[in-house]
Amino acid sequence: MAGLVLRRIRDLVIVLFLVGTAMFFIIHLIPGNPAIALLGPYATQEQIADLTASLGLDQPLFTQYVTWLGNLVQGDMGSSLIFAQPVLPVILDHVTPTILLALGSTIISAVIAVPLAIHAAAKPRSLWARMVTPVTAFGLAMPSFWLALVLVLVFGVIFQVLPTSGYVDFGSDPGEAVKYLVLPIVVLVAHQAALFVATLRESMSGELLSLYLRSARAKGVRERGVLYRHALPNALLPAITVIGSSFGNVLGGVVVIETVFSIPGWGQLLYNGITSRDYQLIIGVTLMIAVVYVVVNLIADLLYLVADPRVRVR
Amino acid sequence: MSLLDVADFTVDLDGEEAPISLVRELSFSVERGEFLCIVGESGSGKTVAALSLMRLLEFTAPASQTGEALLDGEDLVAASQETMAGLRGRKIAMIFQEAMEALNPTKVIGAQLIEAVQQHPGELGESAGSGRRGLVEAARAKAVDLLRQVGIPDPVGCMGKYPHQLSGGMQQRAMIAMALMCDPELLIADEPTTALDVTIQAEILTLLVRLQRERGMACILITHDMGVAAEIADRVAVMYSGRLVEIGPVQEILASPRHPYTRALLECVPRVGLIAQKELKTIPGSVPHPGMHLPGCRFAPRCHNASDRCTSVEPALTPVPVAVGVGAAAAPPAAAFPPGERLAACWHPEPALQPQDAGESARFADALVAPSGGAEPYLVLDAVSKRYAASARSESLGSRRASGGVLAVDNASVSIAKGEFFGLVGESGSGKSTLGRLIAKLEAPTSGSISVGDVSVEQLKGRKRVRSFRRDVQIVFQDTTGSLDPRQTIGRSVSEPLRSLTDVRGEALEARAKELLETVGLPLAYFSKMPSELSGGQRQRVAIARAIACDPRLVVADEPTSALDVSVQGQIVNVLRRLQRELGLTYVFITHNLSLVLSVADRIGVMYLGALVEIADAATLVRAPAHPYTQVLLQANPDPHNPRRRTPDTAHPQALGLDSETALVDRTQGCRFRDRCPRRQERCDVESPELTERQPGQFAACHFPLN
Repeated sequence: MAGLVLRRIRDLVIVLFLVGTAMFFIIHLIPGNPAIALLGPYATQEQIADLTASLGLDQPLFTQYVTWLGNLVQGDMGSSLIFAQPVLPVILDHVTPTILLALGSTIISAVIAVPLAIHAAAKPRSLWARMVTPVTAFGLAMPSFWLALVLVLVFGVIFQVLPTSGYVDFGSDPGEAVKYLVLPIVVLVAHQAALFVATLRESMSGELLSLYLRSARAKGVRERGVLYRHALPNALLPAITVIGSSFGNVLGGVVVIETVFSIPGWGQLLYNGITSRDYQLIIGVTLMIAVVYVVVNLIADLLYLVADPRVRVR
Repeated sequence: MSLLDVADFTVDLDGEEAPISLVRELSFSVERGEFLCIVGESGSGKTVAALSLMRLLEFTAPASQTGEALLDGEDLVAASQETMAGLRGRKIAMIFQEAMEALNPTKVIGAQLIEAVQQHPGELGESAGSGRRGLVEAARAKAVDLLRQVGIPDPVGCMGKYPHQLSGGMQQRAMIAMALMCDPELLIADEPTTALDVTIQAEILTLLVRLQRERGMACILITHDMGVAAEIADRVAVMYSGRLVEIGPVQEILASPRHPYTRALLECVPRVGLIAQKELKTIPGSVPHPGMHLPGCRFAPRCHNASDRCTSVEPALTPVPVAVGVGAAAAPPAAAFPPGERLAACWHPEPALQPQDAGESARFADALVAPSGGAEPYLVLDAVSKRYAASARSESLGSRRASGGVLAVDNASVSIAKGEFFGLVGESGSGKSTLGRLIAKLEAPTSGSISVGDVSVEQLKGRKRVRSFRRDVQIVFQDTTGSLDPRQTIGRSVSEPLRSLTDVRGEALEARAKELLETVGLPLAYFSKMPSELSGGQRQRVAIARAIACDPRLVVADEPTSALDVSVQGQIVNVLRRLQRELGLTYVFITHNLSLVLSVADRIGVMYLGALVEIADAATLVRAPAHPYTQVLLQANPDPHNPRRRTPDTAHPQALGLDSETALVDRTQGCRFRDRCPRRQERCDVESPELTERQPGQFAACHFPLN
């Protein structure tokens, strides 16, 4: 197990290097530069040139890259232009909403998906089992920004029961905070739950053919116990991996959702960073998303090790 | 009143159109303390019947039961699933074939055993006092005790292990313990030993008999192996195509089968000590699907004695007179039961036979076995070894480090003559299949040399010479489904070696492929069929046709019949033997079936944990085995013609025990068999025995051989 963790830390370094490098060059492809964005439309050419030079942006691209990489290795992710402070504290300041959205929607999706998937697998002739394929296909195919806009229209504009934008800190007013989180989480859950139901039903259907379930019934275990105590833990094993890797999609989805609902998390940071050409901020957020993604998948793999004794041997 | 009374028990599978009867009008009873064996080939409906009695089939298939099955007065057919859940485990328990699959892979053995009691708190709950914890503690104590009773060496440690950490035999023992947790009155065992090696099978059967006697429990054991039934049954029921065709006390069934199918089935089992001079007995055709509509007797199309009546009216199970002298001469050991009724479903039952002494003339004593010593050696193995690296990773890196890994074949030397039928027997993990693959150059030996004819296999270089070698040496595999491309027609599969190894093309190619089908006894119509349309036996014929397509000199047959029913096994072996006579083929026939190899092979090599421990001709091997392991194998081999009754005291812990982890045996020093050997002495611990000639033609690797 220690070997796995060490290998993953090595992989993480490689991933961060590749993601950072790719991001560095990609953002320089975006037309315009931070000086123009910062100084606004009425700046003179001299002002722009001065600022460009003081930001070091007049250097050859490769020189900028080497400087950036050197600083990164020393733990310096640079400073954000729009916040006028180092990138790392800015990112950490905005972590809570993003984590709430991602973690909350994942947990809620899992809670919803497990019974739905079990029911669909255990009673293949039921109405729900027949509906599950089109329903999950709809959930997976629907673009989240579209669903977000529809929800805003229905619940925010027509019925006016839920706030449609903004974010309230949990510490200050938990009740209000939940209200603001409902719509964004619903949007995230719609996609994720569909993915979980589809995956889990598949592995559950396979698991239901297993012969050890017959043995369980042969010793008098009732169907409820057969499904939940015997089949489910084994069917969840492949689901762990899926949930882990779908977390990356969730983080990607969060960027869109935070923008639509004006939630001050990483997504909004990234969006603002891109519109104002805040290179260091963009790279910083991207790198942190990569870190979270790798760590979540490491946790999923470790969970798999704990859950499946057969893998643990080696 | 019998413990279990089954009458007109029918199992229907609801199909698209009319329901299909998988089991039809089964009637039998089981007494308390009785051991009933249900015998039948695949497709006979024996497992379906057992699962339906447990009412377990309907969870995985749209099945429904009619008729009556009274367990202690309670009708299992009419009971609700809720009632059944209360009965299962407590009154009627079941153990299954593949123990590995039948145990939950992610729960420890202890939890799975305790769970059985938690379903039926009953007496254990009361005696343990109140509370869930009390029950769990009482269940834990009982589980440990039962694991000890079923012969698990470290019961407390076993409680915390996962199924995959146990060997196959130990898994099966754990499952038996699980079934006994609530002291059932009826135990159904569905092929509990089929996946196990013979020596472990013998242990498990002895264990079952012991537990059954001790507890006065009723047992139904389902098996395809008449030999197993002969060793443990009080009564035997024979099923064919979903029907019960004969039932009676075991001695009578064995000595004087009245239904032609029972008789044929018995005759299909090769007789140890009786060289099959010409052909093994077979039953022509194959078992009709239980749902297939057939007027009259289901066996009539394959019966040697069928009349018009047989093909028009289905015979019912009716009493047949008990053979005079048979029942009396050999009283069953469980004589507490009145000699059971003898029933057979046949219009023309076979005449009652006297105990067999026919065929004696063909025994080894008279059948002079032609010694193969004079013939020129064709296949020569010289100190061949094969080591597999500990992991696939180091394997792919070509790691040559000797440490770690498994020595699958260790220093095997043998020479096989041209035209010889050489049998290679051994249990799983003995390295027999690896040796076969080395001979066919599917893998390269780690050291040693193999030569076929005048070709040295490891020095084969160049496409042309390898192709020539492939023409000469072919292999037939065990798994008939896996070894044929499911998307290629039979004709294409058979002609493929011709296309890749010879220059035969066009019409000549097709003509040759058709000729090959004919040679192995398949109708020409099969040329354009797909593998899925064929039965297992037919697919194996195709594999043989493919193997002999380029006129090979040597064929390695790796367990070619072990996936097949006994009535089909003979057909395949007969084809191989005919080809041997007609084409002068040399065979290396790999099998775990001792009865089979002893009756067809010229010489036999016995392998144990990678090494050849004895080589001799069949007659010598049966009459005077030199290696103790050979003797252990012979004693464990279930043989309906000469049954060794398993009774609680036939266990030989010294010789048979230790079916645990053979992989852990230290092979670097001393004799590899010493831990299981009854003749072990100090020398065995330090010096590994070489294969030496004991008497002309008999080689054994043992310091203290048996003769």
